[in-house]
Amino acid sequence: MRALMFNILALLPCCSLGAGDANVELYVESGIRHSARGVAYSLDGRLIAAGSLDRTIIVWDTDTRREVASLPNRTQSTSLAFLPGTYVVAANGEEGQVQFWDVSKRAKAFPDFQCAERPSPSIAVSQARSELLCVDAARPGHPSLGLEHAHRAPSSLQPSWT
Amino acid sequence: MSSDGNTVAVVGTDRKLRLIELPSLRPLGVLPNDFGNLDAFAFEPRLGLIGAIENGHGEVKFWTWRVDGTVGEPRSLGGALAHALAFSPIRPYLAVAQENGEIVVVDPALPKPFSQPIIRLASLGNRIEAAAMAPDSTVLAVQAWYDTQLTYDVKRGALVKAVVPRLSAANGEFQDTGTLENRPFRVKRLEDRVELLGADGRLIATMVFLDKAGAWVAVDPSGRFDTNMDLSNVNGVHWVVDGKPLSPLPLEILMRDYFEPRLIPRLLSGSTFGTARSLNQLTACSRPSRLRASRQGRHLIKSGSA
Repeated sequence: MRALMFNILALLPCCSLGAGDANVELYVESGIRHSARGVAYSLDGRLIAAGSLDRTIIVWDTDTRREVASLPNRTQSTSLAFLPGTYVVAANGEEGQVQFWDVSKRAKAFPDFQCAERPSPSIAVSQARSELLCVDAARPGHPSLGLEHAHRAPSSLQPSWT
Repeated sequence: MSSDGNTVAVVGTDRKLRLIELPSLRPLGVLPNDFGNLDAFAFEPRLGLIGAIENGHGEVKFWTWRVDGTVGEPRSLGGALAHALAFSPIRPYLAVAQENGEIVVVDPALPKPFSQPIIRLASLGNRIEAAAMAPDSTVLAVQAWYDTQLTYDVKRGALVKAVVPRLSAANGEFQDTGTLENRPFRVKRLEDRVELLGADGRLIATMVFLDKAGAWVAVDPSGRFDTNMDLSNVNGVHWVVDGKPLSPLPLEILMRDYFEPRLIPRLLSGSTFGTARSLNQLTACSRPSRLRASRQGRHLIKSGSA
C-alpha cells in the first residue's frame, strides 16, 4: 500500500461532522511508491487514478493537487477507466479480471468481473452505451459488461459478446 | 475510448489506428499513419489529439488531427520513461504515468511540455524492503526499494546520517528488537510503513518514511503524531473524517491537540500523555466547518450554516 492511512481515532463520538461515530484518520500522501503503470481521468476531470507496479491504485484530486486515496488493489493495473457519472474506477488485473473501486468509499463497488483469459486486458468505458469494454487478445471478440446491470445486480454479472 | 464515450479506437498489429463509432459500432475509418508498435495510446477526438508510447522506448509521441481528417507527423514530447497515458476530458492536457512513480500532466502544445508541467503528482517514497535496529538500539535503519536507506535515531526522534550495512537476512548484526530505557520493543516492517510494537505485541506507533523527500511521519494509536516536515506548510499529510477521502481536512485543524514533538522517544521510554481532546469537544463549540479547495490548491475553511 502506498500512501498510508492510519486509523488514529476510531469510534469517536461526533456531533457535527456526521451522524454516528466519527472515524478520523491521518493520511500521508506518499504518492506511488513504485512504478506508475496505468492512469485515468474521471469524466469530470477532477480525479486522476493511477495503477502501480506495487499493486495499489493512488487517486489524486486535480483541483487541490492532493492525493486523496490509496486503494489496496492487490494486482497491478495497467488499464483504468472511471464509470460515467461516478467516482468508481474500473481497473484491470493480472489474472484477466476487472475490479471496481468506489473512490469516495475506498471500497469495492461491485464484485470483480472476469473479462479475459489473458493477464491485464485493456479496458475502456463507454459513456454512451454504459458499458465496460474489455479487450481479450485471446479471443476474437470483445466481451462487454453492461454497467447498468452492474449497478442493479452486481452478483449476477454476465458478459455479453460483441 | 474517447472521454465522451462516443468513439473507440484500436491499434492493431498492422500499426494502424481504427476508429469505431458507438453505440452503432460503425467503422469510421482507418488512419493511414504508421503508429509503430505501441505500449499504450490515448486519443481525444473532440480536441483532435492522439498520444502514444512506443514499444520498449517509453517515449511519448503526440499527433494532432487536422480539420481535413488527416493526422500530422508525430512529435516527441520527451520526458522520463512512460508507461501509460490519459487525456483530460475537459482540457487539452495529457496525463503521463512514469517509471519513476510520478504522474505528470502536460500541455502537449507547449514546445517542451515536460519542462513546464501543468501538474506533477510526485512520488515521495519507495516500498520498504527492510527495517531493523542497530545493535546498540539507537538507530532504526529503514531500507527502501533500490537500496536507499534512512536512519532514524530513536533517542533523539530525528533522522541522522549513519552509515549502516545493507540490511539483509544474512546480516545478523541488525535485529528486529531494541530497548530504550530498559523497555523492549519490536520493529515490524510492512511494505508502506514500519510498526513499533511493545513486548506484549501492542502497537506503540506507526512510522511512514518518505525517503525521496527525506521525511517521516509517526503516529500513535490515540492519534498523536510527529513529523520532521515543516509544520507551517505541510502539504503531504491531512485528516480524513468519517471515511470521506474526497473531503480532506488540513493537518492544521487538529494539529494543536495531536502534534507531539519527540513522540517516538517519549513513547518508547514509557512517557505518559494527557488525554487529547476528542473530536466531539473540538467541534461542539464551533459551527460546522466545510472544506473548500481553490484551484490554486490552497484550502479555505468556511463556516457552515447548518
